[in-house]
Amino acid sequence: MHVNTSVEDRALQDAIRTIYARANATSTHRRGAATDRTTRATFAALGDLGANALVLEGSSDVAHRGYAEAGIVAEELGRALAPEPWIETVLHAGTLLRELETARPERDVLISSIAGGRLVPGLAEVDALESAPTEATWSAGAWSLRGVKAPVAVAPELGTIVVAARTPGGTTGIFQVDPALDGIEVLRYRSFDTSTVCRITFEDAPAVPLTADGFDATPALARARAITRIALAREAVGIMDAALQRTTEYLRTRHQFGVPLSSFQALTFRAADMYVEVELSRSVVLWATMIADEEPTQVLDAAARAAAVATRACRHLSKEIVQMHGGLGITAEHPIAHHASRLLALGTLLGRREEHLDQLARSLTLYDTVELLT
Amino acid sequence: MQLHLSEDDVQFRGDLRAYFEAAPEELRAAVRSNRELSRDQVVEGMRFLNAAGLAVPHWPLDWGGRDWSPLRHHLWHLEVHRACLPRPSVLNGNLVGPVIFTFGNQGQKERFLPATANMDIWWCQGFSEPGSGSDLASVRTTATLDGDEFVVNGQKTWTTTADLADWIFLLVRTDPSVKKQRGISFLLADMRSPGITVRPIELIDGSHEVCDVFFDDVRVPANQLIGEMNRGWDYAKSLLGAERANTAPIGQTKRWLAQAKSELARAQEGAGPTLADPWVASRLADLENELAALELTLIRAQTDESDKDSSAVSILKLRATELEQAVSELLVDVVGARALLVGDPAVISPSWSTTSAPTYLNNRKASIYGGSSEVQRQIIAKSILGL
Repeated sequence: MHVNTSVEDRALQDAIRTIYARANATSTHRRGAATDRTTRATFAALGDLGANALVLEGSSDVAHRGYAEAGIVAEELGRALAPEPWIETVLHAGTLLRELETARPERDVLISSIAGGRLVPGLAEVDALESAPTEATWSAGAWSLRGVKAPVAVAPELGTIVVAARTPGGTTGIFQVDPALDGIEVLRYRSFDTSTVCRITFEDAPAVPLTADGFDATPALARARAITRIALAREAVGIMDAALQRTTEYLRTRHQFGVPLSSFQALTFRAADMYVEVELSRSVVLWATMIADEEPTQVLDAAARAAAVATRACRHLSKEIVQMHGGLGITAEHPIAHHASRLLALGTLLGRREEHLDQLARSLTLYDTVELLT
Repeated sequence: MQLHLSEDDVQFRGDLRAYFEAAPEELRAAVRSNRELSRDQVVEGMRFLNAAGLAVPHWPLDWGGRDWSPLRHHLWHLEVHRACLPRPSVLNGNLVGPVIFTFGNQGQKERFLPATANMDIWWCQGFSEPGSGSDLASVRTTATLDGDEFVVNGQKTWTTTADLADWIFLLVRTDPSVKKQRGISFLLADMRSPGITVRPIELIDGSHEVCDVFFDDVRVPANQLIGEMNRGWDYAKSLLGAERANTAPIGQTKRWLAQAKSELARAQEGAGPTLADPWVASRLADLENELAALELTLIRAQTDESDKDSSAVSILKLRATELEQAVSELLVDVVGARALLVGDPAVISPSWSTTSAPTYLNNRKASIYGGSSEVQRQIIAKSILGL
């Protein structure tokens, strides 16, 4: 199905595609073949392009907050099966900082650095153990953090860490930590989708507060998570587009029993079902992107709606694209397996469908029907 | 895609809403309670719309249509169902009407279109045959030219409301010697013609909404042929696209779900599951959400600026009918074993308790008619995915 794209959006799309065409020149797919060097270079290219700035500083116009552009970047990253966790790092950290209703001046400096592409952040939000939240303490005139955050998505160049920590007053504050200092241990793992994921341990780690005493960042964290999930769902749409294209190409060209696989209606029907899932996901994710950009008060429910549809599509397609490729679908050498593993990972990052439906269920009695045009 | 209506569109919607809510309350109550409507009630609904020029807004301006944007057509659809008006006749408004104004001659347009919009003529669709379902082009009902009349012989089946209809539009074989699609004509016939016999078919839910229609040397004036002889398949193809687009009204499904939600929210604990039960709330939220995703896809399709590619219609028909069925299935699950008590007046809450199972069974038709789900998948696979 066609998507109406403005001239500016198409320009951004083309620019990202060019970056990835260059990056892909030496390998058939990015995941699995990417190295730290190529990832660093691509992150830098995205920064130089101005993608970060466009999204984080693009507009002081209240009606248009840069998340539409973020969606375009996200979809193209997905389409190229990019290993760069731009969404989980630049977008998520940058968005959280922007979403803080009030903050210290250091917050604005940090946004500028991230937007300029000079500093790649990690966002340490999820505690390794829910029962043991990371704590911030004030002692001898300085803040320090103690606790363990995991999983944290990071780029090869972890320039700074933005951390959510519980303050003595019981509220959640946002702090900035320099990973080069003592008291911070970053253990890197290569995840099942080839992403780099970390466990970060803070032991009396020096921290710079970005929020004022007594300020609770919980609502801002929720909004930033919602906006990031919408972008992740958009990445998923890009991946599913590419994966479906590869799969239909395979059905057309792979021959067995003297005929192409596309002769078998069982397979073409399953491809049709995948197409429907992708288009339904695309519709609700595009809508949620508009909400993020224009109607911030509705972003939590919009993200739940988009994620509920997208996680199901991700799960379904990740199984089907492997199955339709037969043995090749299971090998690490073939690109399609990497589409499948990233879709699985995205599904986990988008949150459980059950939780999204529970969230939506809470407001069921507040309206008759879902009104999409107000 | 847009989030907000323009001020003009808000006004437009408000005007429609005001008019629709002024419809006879008895009629709206009948629709609201999901009772089967009488023939008179269906006609009353269409005429109420037509009185304000709102029955066939998608028709050409000359014949009662409106110069509306696709978005306004969507708003019209939503408001009709929100106000609990009878669904405007698809057979009249979306199937035969467009064929007549697109391919008919001036005399036919004048003779049939105003009466069709006003439901002075109730149309039925003589397409499917016992041997021709999905493979519609294989129809064998024949029409042979004898002077200035066609003589029609054969059988149509699955003909919705043939027992209530005044006229029938037919796909007939006028040349059996050529490739099947090339020998079909599109003919209009008066249901009172001698030689036509209508036999209702009992459906799985006990209703009789479809019929067999037998043609035994039925004479049909040749001036009731639409367009050219043996070009009928072309006209039918355009009709089938419209059928696909109109077979699952999202607005109606939204209303059913809203009604279910409202009753379940008021239901008393101890009388069965209610909205307070997490699984009920979760499934309802899921269905509402899936409908929203579908509606957004519909809006995208309608506002598509590229060459109008009708592939989206197959997605919509496939998915909309699945959701329609899912709603009726949810209601069966909520009611549980009390669904068995069909016709028992002691079961009064939820209001759909004793009709939930027959409705579910009847709705199984949705994924079969208007181009089965298998046909829709075939269309998607072939014309969108190139498989």
